[in-house]
Amino acid sequence: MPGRTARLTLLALAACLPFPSRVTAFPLLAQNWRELSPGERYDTLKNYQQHERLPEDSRRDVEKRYQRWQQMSPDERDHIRQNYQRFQQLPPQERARIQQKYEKWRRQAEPSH
Amino acid sequence: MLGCQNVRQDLTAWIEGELPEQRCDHIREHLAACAGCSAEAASLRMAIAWQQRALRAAMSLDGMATVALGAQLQRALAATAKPTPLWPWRPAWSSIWGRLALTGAALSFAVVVLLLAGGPGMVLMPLGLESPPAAVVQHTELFKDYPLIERLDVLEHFETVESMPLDDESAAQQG
Repeated sequence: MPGRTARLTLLALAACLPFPSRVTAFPLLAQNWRELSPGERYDTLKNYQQHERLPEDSRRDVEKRYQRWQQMSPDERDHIRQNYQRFQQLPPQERARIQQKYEKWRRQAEPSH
Repeated sequence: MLGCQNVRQDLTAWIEGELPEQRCDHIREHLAACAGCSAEAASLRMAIAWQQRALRAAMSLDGMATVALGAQLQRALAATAKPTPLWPWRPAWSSIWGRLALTGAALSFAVVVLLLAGGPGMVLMPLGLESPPAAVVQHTELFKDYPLIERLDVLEHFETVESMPLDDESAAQQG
């Protein structure tokens, strides 16, 4: 739960900040980052740290997936997001089984590529 | 001339007009010369006057039962009494140490939160008080939707993969 504690603390601190500090502290930052809430920014930074810790080839794999994600249409993205929500709602054992099933499916699909 | 102890014993009776005139003269004479007894008399006079006012106020209420009258007097006395401190047994010096301890606890909490959050940057950057790494700014979407993008392969074929039996499931179905 440390992540949740940190997020809650951030939200409390953000509420204490005067409005201009929250919005205009770094006007040159990309719009997306500025649009995120403190909690979302925290999660984003955590994900960045996780990504930085990955080995080089794993990082490259994620970056390729990101390129594919960027090329997807909004409908495709919506569909993927819905699947992600379904995946998130599954119990941990079931998620592991999905991963196993995917590995099996990939092995079967590979020769046809 | 009367001594202080004799005068103080008679002060209440003197204020309430219960002493003979000669005794009153002696007391007045002593009070004129003794500052301590004079102050005591003034204080006593104020207390008696207040009690008389409170009693008159209580008596002026019609139909007041004796018990209710007593309760009213108690409340009136409590209202004028010095407020009871939260910790009456606490010595004065402890408040300084108490404040130091509270400050220390608050600082410790802040340090623990910073450590749990992953350092000061992980607190300052989300609050907009420190600039995030350039990669995060350039690819905010990647790191925001990271858990999704990380599993993009599975999620793209989720329906197919989900409906696919594993080996043990296939065996169970055949059995």
